[in-house]
Amino acid sequence: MLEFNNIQKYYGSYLAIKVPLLSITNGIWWMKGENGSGKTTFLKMIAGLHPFTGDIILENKFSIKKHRKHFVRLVNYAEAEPLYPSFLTAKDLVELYCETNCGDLQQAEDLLKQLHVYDAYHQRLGSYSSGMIKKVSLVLAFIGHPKIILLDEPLITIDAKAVDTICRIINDKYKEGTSFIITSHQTLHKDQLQFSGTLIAENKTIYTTGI
Amino acid sequence: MTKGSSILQRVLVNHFYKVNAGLFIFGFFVLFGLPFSPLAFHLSIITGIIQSPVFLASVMVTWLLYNFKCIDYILHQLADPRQSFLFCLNSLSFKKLYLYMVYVQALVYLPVILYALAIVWLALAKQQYWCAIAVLLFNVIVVSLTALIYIVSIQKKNLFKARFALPTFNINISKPLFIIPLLFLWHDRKQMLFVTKIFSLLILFGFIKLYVPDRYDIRPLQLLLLITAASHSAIVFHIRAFEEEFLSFTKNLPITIISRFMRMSIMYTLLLLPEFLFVFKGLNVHFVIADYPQILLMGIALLCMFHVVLLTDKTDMEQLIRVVFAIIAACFFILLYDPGLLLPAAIMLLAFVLYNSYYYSYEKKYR
Repeated sequence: MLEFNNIQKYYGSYLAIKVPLLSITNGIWWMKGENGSGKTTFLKMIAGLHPFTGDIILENKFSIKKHRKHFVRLVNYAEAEPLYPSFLTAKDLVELYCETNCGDLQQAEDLLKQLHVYDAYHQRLGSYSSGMIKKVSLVLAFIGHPKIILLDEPLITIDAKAVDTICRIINDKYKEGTSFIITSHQTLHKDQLQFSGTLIAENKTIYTTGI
Repeated sequence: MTKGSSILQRVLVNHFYKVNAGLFIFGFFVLFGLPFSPLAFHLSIITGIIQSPVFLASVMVTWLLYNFKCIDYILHQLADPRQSFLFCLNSLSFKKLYLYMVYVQALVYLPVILYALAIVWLALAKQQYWCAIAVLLFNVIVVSLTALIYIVSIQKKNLFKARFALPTFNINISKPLFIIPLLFLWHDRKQMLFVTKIFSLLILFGFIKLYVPDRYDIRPLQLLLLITAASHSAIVFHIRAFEEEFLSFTKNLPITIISRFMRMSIMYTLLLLPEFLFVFKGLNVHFVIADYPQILLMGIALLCMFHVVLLTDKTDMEQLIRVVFAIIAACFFILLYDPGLLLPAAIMLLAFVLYNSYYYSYEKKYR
């Protein structure tokens, strides 16, 4: 589903990641690695937020370099520590994402209700706690019709009840055909998420292993 | 220098001069870049200040305005979550904390202090003691009271912020992407926005009212537009910094590069709207309606160009100001040949080409 060809990511002259060849099939992938091993950089490259050399092909059709618009329409991303303008409301962001990603507003609002942040829907994000902002960023990642959703540490800062809700939403989305790459330092139980495989970030490269 | 003062200088003072480099370069150009002797010019100004209480009062008002800028900046920095570690300063004795804050204020207020010292020195030489005392007293009071304001902020009492905050409002309607940077200016850079607009509109007003051309020529107005656009360069810098910090997630949205560029152009059109409307005061004297499109395009193209410069490796204010001066100088000479719509169209095209090349490959460099 995702093919990586000759990927190299430099920060100045420092080589952060080198992936000569990698293929990631459909499924829920758990990405593991120490702090600074390149997990976030890797996800941001797939999301189109970081420039790099090489190419990433989605579903043998869309290259991030040649068909960027189509590629990012099918790849959603939620940051580990999301930052949004404090004067915007969750409604502003949800509407923006629904407009650009052809998403269903009602569905996004339902997700916010399930995560208990809908009460603050019309309030400025500046008045939100970090957990509430995290929940909004996760909801934004589910908007539209993505083929793959990248979640960078989705379970940090949110409450235990919300962790269960997020896992349920991930499982539901997976059944509908959406794949996931999830980084998490927390160990998840099998009844929460059934991972298809593991992606390991170490020695400046990324490779897959069985779960 | 103690560890505390060194950290305060790096965190609060150095950054102040860095983000306001444009203002200082502009001020330096106005005060020392004139085509006659700077020494004679400043001697005559200082003599005027010493001899005229009205002149002295207006200079003090200017110093106060500059001090408001310093206060606004320092309070913003102290309220920034990234600077929350400065809360540990509360464990110091009041006397030591106060001295630290006087040190910070003296450094950000340094340009005024230096000029005030020159006035005091000349006033004493001319035996105008009342003036020397007034200038000294004024600045001592300003520095000492401002240091107290900083202490209140460090202690998180937020008295001044709560009392003097400008009104903000949140319109509960859908906000398109191009409006978000303008909302950022309105919410977080009010002072800069107002000062820029006042300056920009004042020079337009002065030009339209005071300059009466012998024959029709669009070029003087075009040259003035260059200054108007250049005065917005600090705003463009802050918009770009905001975009990088808070809107980087939009790179993951399926929006074509043309659409992104169009949105940026609309944003700068809205930013320059007051100037575009105000310039109508000079209709049929300084320009005819057929030339209006090139006035619009010139303003928008220049701001888009400044924005795009920040997507290349020219990422700090000082570098931007240098490039802005170079662009303005080049445009100045080209405008003399009356290129009409060609020049703004070429700038716009170049801005788009650069935007297309650099938008996705841009990456913040950590120095």
